[in-house]
Amino acid sequence: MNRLTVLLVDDHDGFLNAAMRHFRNVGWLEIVGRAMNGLEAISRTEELKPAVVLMDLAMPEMGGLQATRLIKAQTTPPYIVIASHFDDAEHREHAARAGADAFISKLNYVQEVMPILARLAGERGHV
Amino acid sequence: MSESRILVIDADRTRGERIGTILDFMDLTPRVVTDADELHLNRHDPQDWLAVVLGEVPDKRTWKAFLDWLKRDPLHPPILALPEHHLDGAADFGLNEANFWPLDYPIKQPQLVEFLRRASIKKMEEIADVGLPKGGPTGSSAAVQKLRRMIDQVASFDTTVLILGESGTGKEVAARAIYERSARRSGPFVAINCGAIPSELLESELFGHEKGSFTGALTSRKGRFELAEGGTLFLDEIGDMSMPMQVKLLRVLQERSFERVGGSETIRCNVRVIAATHRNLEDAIVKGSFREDLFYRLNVFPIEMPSLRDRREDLPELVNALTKQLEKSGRGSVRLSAEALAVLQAYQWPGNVRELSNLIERLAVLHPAGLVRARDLPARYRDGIELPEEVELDLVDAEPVAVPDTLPAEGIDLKDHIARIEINLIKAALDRAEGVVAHAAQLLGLRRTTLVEKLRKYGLGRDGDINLTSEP
Repeated sequence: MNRLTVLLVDDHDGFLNAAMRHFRNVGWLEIVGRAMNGLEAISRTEELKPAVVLMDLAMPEMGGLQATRLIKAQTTPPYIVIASHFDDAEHREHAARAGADAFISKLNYVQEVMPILARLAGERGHV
Repeated sequence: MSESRILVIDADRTRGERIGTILDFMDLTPRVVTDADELHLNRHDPQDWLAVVLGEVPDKRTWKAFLDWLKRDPLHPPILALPEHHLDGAADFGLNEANFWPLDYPIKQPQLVEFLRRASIKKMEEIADVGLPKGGPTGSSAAVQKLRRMIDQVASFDTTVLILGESGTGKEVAARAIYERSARRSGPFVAINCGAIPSELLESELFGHEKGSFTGALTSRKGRFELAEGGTLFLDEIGDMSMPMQVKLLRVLQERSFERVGGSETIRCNVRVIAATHRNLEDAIVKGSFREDLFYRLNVFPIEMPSLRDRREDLPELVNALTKQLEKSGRGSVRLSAEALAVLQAYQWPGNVRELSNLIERLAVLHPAGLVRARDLPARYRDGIELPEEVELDLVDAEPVAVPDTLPAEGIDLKDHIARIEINLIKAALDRAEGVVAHAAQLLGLRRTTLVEKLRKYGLGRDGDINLTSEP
């Protein structure tokens, strides 16, 4: 079956591995790649053309906000979810201004990201 | 930058480790050292850390070296100083008070969380600020000249301004230009995007809240109206504001006073409001989603931002300004070939200057310091463009020699035709490179010596119409 393709972006290996362990059990989801900073995220998005990018807000080299702006500058950009350690009006405002489609708290990652992914998978006929 | 990485420097190892454990417990990523010399600074960037917690300094020499390294980056993270530095640490270390935050010990978790949250916001604001053009809109088209006149006209009056126009046309740039030219320029400029903040949070963001007024309100906080006191408040995407919030905003505009959420004290305010939206507010009034009385309150002096497709002649100047800004902020560099520029000039720009700015930054990342040709542009910019050479000759050179793109009935002198194309492109490249031959050669994908030969061949640069510089 055609699955919802996702690129995972985070500078912590541990975080990426934990997220991978969870996503592996979701049948309609396919993690097509990982990136550890914003620069890598831009080139991997161009190369792998995922439907969704789960983007950490803060990473070395290039952070998630800048990467989101630049990924949104590509033709038919993916849906981008920003994950932030801090969840407040200011962080949400900056994410939205960068062009992110959704915002989630890293402290509640799986619980907040799954409904978003499930909705997208439903809309796009992957479920 | 890393939101979760915190550096702890403390010669008091027990205390340092304890702070590290607290940070670990908060799901953050601490790095605890007893002396700055444990860090390999050449492998780090100051922005690798969100904040630096500073305790006892064992060796003044290594600490000074670290401090010097940190201060070389104007956007360095703040120092959260433990009590031994509270009295005179900022002065001792030559740090701006804005980057020196006294942290209590024993650690109070709410204070630490709040400091780190603020450090993260400070970082995002600084980065966003670096990307904003200074000094108002760029360009010399009639539309931009008119816009500048309107900005100058309204700046010195304390009236409310409503900036209208499509997304990405630079409404915040115009708002900042008004503020910079106004008597309030010594006061703060505070911006808020009403469309980007969930409606349930917007009221407390605008007006502040008292401690305990809702779940999560652990301390009382000032809102943006209070933060903008004596200055200017920019309310972007005002058309996205909910009806109940519109009522509250109208009251502040009428009475110049408000209450914090959960507060009973009426706070007077002296704030100039500049509002903006990409929506058609008159349509919204008809549909019942925007209050007519608020519209008339805001619409004292409307400014319409021109779309980029209505001022395509500004594109080369905009590209130039955006490239210089990227270079200045250390975000990379990029050069566009004349043909790429011509292709961009033919594009519709639904996302306006913001789209252009993001494209330029993206090209700088994907082609660092290189020359971007038309074929390197993302596909949507090239759609429907077949002959970039001819487009470029018409648009880029100020006075191009007419070069037909079809074979005329009477035939053509191909050698002469090719020479004309070459001359036009060389002139355009020299114009763009401000006469610097080495840069023009780069734009044309030629070696400098080859370009010099061609200049000699065509007699360019000798008759005074082009000023050449041999060295960059």
